Amino acid sequence: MTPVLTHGAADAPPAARRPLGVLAQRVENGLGLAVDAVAGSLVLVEIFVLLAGVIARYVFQKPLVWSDELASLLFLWLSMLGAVVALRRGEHMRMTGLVSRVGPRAQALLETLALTVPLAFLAMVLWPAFEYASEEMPVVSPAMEISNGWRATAIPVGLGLMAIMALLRLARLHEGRRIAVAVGITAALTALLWFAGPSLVPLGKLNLVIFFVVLVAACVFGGVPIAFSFALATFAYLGLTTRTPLLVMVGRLDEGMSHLILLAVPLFIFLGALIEMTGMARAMIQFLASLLGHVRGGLSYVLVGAMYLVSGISGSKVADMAAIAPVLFPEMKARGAKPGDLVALLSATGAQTETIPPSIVLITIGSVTGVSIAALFSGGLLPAVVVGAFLCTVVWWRYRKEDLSQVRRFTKGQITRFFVVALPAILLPFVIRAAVVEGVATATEVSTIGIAYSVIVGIFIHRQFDIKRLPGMLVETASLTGAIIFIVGCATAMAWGLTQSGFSQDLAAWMQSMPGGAAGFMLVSILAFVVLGSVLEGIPAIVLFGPLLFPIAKAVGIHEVHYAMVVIFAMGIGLFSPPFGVGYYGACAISKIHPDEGLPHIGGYILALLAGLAVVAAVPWISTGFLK
Amino acid sequence: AEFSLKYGNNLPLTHPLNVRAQEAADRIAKESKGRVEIKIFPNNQLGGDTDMLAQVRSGGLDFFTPSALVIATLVPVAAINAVGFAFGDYNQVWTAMDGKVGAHVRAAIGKMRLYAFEKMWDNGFRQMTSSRGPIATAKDMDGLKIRVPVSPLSVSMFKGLGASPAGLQFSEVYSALQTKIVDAQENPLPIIQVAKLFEVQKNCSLSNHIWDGFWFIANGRMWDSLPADLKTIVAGAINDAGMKQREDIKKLNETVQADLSSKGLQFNKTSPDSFRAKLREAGFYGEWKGRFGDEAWGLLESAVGKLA
Ligand code: NA
Ligand code: NA
Repeated sequence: MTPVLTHGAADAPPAARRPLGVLAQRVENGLGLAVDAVAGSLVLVEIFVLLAGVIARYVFQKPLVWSDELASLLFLWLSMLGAVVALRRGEHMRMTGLVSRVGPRAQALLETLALTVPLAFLAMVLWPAFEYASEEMPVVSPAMEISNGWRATAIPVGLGLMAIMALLRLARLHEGRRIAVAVGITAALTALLWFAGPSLVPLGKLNLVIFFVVLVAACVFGGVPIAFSFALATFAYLGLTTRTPLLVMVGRLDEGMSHLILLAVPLFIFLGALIEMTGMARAMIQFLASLLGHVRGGLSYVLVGAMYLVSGISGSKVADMAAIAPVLFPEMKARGAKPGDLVALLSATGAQTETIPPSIVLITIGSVTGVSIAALFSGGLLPAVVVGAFLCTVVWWRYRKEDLSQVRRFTKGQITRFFVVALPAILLPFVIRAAVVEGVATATEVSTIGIAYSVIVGIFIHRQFDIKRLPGMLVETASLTGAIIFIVGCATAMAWGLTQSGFSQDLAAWMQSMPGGAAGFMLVSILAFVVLGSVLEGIPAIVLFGPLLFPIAKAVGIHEVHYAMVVIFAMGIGLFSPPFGVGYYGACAISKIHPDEGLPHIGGYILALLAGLAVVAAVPWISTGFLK
Repeated sequence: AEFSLKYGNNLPLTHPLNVRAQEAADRIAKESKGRVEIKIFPNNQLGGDTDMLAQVRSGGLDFFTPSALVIATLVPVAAINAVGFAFGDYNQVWTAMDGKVGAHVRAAIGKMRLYAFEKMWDNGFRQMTSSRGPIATAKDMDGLKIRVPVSPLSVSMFKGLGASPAGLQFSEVYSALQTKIVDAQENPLPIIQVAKLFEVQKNCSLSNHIWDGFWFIANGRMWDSLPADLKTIVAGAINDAGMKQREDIKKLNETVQADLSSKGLQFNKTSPDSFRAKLREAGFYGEWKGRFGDEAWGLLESAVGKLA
C-alpha cells in the first residue's frame, strides 16, 4: 500500500532529466531539507512547551501564563511550514475521481493546472499577506508582550515558500509546452473573472452561489487541492464583488489556523506514530484481534468503540481521529480490510461522536443559545450510542460474508498473554481520559501526557524505541498538520465571506415560514444544517444560526436539548461528507488514504447516519430522557 | 444604501449592547433617509477579538466594540480603566471616562487611524467566582488558581494579590472549572450567567476588582469619508444608545444577581481595602504608574483619589 496522496499519478518522469528539471530538483532538495528541519523541530518544541505548562500548573501549582500564547505562535509557524512540506511532497488533499477518468492528455493538463491554479492564488495573496504582517507589527501580544509580527510573519513566509515550491515542482515534473498551456488557461480564467467582476456586483447574494458552489466545485472536481479551491473562491469573491480589503482574508487564515485546540491534531498524530514505533500498537491490535478476530468485521467495531471512548477528550474531531487511525489502520489493512471502507467508517464515526461530552460544539451551543451545558452533556451520550448502532448494522451487513477461514483462533491462555503485553497500550486511552477528568490537563495539552507515557512505556517496558526514526516521524507529522490545518484556515476564510454577506437572517426567516409545525421545522433544520455543516463547519454554523433558530424551535415545542442533538448530527453529516466537508478530508489525511477511495464506501455509512438521525429526531426521549 | 457599513462584536444578540446598537442602526437609517445602513454581526460571527481589531483597522469591518483590555494590545494606555480596585462606584467610572481620562485614551486611539466615539459603553465590574469558598479579603486569594483573560495588567494584579493566574481560552473555561484545572475565574455577572459558570462554581464574591467597558470605534478612513451631516447623525445615535446601554447594564446586574442566587450561586460582599493594601505592598500601583506615564496616571488619580 503506497500512500496515494501524491500530486499526480500522471507526473511526467522525463522532466527530471531536462537541465531545468535537474536544477529545480537540486534547489528543491536543499530548500526542502531546511523547511523539513524547522517544521519537524517545531513539533518537538510544541510538545515541550505544552508539557511545561501542564507540569507548572499541576505539579508546582504555578500556571505559566505565556505557555498557551507561545504554543499558539509556534503553531501558526508549524502549520504554515507544514503546508510547505506538504506541497513539496504533493500531500495536499485533492479529489482526483474525475481527473483520473479523462484521457491521458487531458489528465496531464489537469495535473499541471492543479499546480498553476494554486500558484495564481499564491501570487495574488502574497502582497495582502505582507500588508497583514506589517499591520500586526504594532500590536503587542498580551502574555509575552512581544510584537504580533512574530506570529503574523509566518503567513507571508509560508505562502511565499509554497509559491517557490510550486514553481520548482512545476519545472521538475511537467514539460514546457504543457506548462505554457496551463499558465495560459489560468491567466485567461483570472482575466475573465477580473473583467466580469463589475457586472457581478449587482447580482448580490447570487454571487455566493457562483463563487462558493460553482467555482469551488469546478476547482475541487478539476483536481485543484481542496485548500486552494476554498482559498481561491474566497479571494475571488471578496476581491471582485465586495469592497473588503484582502488582508482581511489573510487575517482569517491566521485566526482559523491558530485555534489552540487544533494543536491537539499534530500532537495526536505524533502520538499515533510513537505508539506504532514503540510496538504498543501492535501489542494492542494483537490482543484485540485475538479477542474479536473471529467476529466478522470485528476490528470495525473496535474502531467505532474506540472513537466513542476518545471523542470526549479533545473536542476536536480531527484530533480524535488522529488518536485512532494510526493505531488501528495498518493492522486492519493487513487483515484485508479495504482502505476505502476504513476511511469511510472513520469519517462516519467522526459525525456520530460529535455529541459526546466534553465537546466544544456542545459548549458553544450552550453559550450562544442559553441552553444548560450540563444538560447538553448528559443529553449527548445516548444519541451517539443510537447512531453508532446504525453504523454497526452497516458494518455487520458489509462484513457478513467475510472469509474468516484464515483467521487463527486463540486459546484463553494465549489471549491472556496478549492482554498482559498489551496492557500498557490498553491503559493509554484511560490515562488520557483520566488526565482530563481529574483536571490534570486541558484537551489541548492532554496529548502531551500521552506522548510522555508512550515514551516511558517504549523505553522501559517494551524496550523498543528507535531514535533514528524520530526525525522522519516529526517531519511526517508536520506535513500532515500543514495539509489539515491549512484547509481549516481556508475554510475559516470562506465562512467569513459567507457570513459577512448577511445571508443567515434570510435563511432563518425562510425556515420559520415552513409549514408543518414542529415536524416541518425539524425537517428543514436537518436539511439546512447538513448543507451548513458541509460549507461552514460546525462551530461557525452554530454561532451563526443557533441564536436565530433555537428560539424558533422552542416556540414550536421542540425541547432545546433534543434540537441541539439533531442539529449537531445534521451538521456532522455535512461536515464529514464529500465533496465539500472538511472533516472527510481530515479523515483521509490522517489515514493516508486517498479521498477517492472512500467515495464508493461512504454512501452506506451516510445512509446509516441519516437513519440514526431520523430516529433521534423522531424520539425526543433519547436526548431528554436522562435530564434531571 | 450609499454607505453600507458592518459592525462586529463579541456579545450575544440579546445582550443590551446589541439591542441598543440595533436601535441606533434603525435610527441612523431613518434620520439619514436610508443613506447609511449598519449591519450588526454579533457573537464573534466575523472573528475573535484580535482579528476584529485587525479588521476594523484595515476596513474589513467599519465598527467594532473592543473592551479596553482588547484595544490595549494596540493602544497600551487604553488599559488604564482596568487598574485593579481603582473605581469605587459607577459615579467615579463615568466621571473619569466621560472626562479627562476618556479624552486622553480617545486621543491615543485616534493616532492609530481609528475613531473612538465619545461615550464608552458599559461591560460592568468584574467579579470573582470560586469553587474553593468565598473570597472576602486579599488573604483568601493566596495560591488561588484563577483563570484570567491574558493581559499584562490583570496578570500582574493577580500575581500581586498572591494568586496563580492561568490564561485559558474562554471556550475551555467551563470544563476547566468543572475538572478543577483551575479553582476560580473572574468576569462580569452577565457573562457568568450566559456561560453557565454557576453550574460549575459555588461562590461568587462581589469584588468589583476591575471595571471594564467597550470603546465604540470606527475605521478612520471610513469615518473621514462620511459627510459632516451623516457624521452628526451617526455619532448622535451611537452615543445616545451608549448612554441607554449603561442604564440597561446597571439594571441587568441586579436581576442577574437575583437569578444567579436562585440557581444556587452564593454571593458575598467584599471591601477593597485589604486588596488595595496588598497591591500597594506588592508594588503593583507603582509599576503601572510608570507604564501608563505620569500624565495618564495623574488624570486617573484626579478622578478616583490617590492609588500609588
Ligand atoms: Na467530543
Ligand atoms: Na466545509
